[in-house]
Amino acid sequence: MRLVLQIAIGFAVLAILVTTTGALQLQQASTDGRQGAVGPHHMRELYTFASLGQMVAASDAVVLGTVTKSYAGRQVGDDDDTGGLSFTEIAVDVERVLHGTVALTITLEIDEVSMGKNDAWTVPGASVLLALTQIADSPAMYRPTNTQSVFVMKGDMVTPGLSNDEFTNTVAVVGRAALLVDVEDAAASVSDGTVTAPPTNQGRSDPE
Amino acid sequence: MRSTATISFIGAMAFVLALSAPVYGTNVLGHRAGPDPSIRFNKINLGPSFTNAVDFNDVNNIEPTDISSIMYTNADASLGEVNIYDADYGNVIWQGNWSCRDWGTGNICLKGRVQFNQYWGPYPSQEAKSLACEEIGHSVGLHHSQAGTVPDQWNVSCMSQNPAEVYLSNHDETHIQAIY
Repeated sequence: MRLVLQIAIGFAVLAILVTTTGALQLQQASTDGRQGAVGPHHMRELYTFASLGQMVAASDAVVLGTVTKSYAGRQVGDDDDTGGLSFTEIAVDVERVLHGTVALTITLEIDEVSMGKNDAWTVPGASVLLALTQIADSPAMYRPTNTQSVFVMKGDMVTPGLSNDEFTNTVAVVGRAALLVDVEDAAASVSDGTVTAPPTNQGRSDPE
Repeated sequence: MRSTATISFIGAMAFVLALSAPVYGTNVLGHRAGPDPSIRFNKINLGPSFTNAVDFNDVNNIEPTDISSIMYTNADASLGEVNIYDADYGNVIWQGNWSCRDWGTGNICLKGRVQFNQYWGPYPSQEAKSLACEEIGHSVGLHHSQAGTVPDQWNVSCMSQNPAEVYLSNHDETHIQAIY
């Protein structure tokens, strides 16, 4: 009788424990999803990088610069007809070109979905490392190659700007000076052909 | 007697934790679409490719769960709790996305939006189905599945972002059952 009672109490205590833990995890997931400093993105991107070499190889340029201005850009469609999509444009003074060729001042744009709530890197004065894809010629316009392609520098500290994942955290943890060396090394590997861009998600599926 | 009770207690603990593990895994976003398991999806201006993909997903991934889907094809965006669009959104980072446009209380997304980007199309049928599976999976509360967070079944789910996968995993479905 005592054994049965002990087991019953055990079940009751654990049920409370598990329910509480689950609720906390759901609350945490909710907080991460809606309010996180670098919140997760709920989208399928063209690229997912596993290394700096892949990031550099898939990008037209990689630059170190300072944001000078950000402002509302174009709007595609409206909310009812196409779902609508708004863009932010960001002007950057380039201090160092680590890969590719770009002007001293560049403009990039990012859509509201890719940005999410992660807009700290667009504040004027922000020091940023950007891997960029050129999306227009004249005037030249760029976008981050993916959400893993933006890093913010504060002193020697580096933080991911758009995507907080294993790749971006590994890249950022080394600090500013080491990251710049790593990117230059990656760019050299891309130049000599030892590293190439990964396949895009597009077309990865098996033919039917 | 005491050792038997201890063993029973540990056994009970293991049993309860084993039961609870799939439900409280880590590929949930922490919200639900709408206040009840009956969810109104609205296919707004969808082309044939994504119409087929969304319908395939509804039959194979959504209806088998506790969600009861009500599918509209109507330009009136007020009808849907999840409105689904495809359009040429241009040279942006993504092929598809889900976002919540209107949060209610209690982590309920009152108005979700799924967009498929035709700029990167046309998509093969399998890829369109995979995209529909993932983005609608987000809309009902699922997160991406990755090796580090869903070690058992991460790569057999469209939530892994692999365009070859067009189905949710059992793990994903367990989450949905728990949410709805």
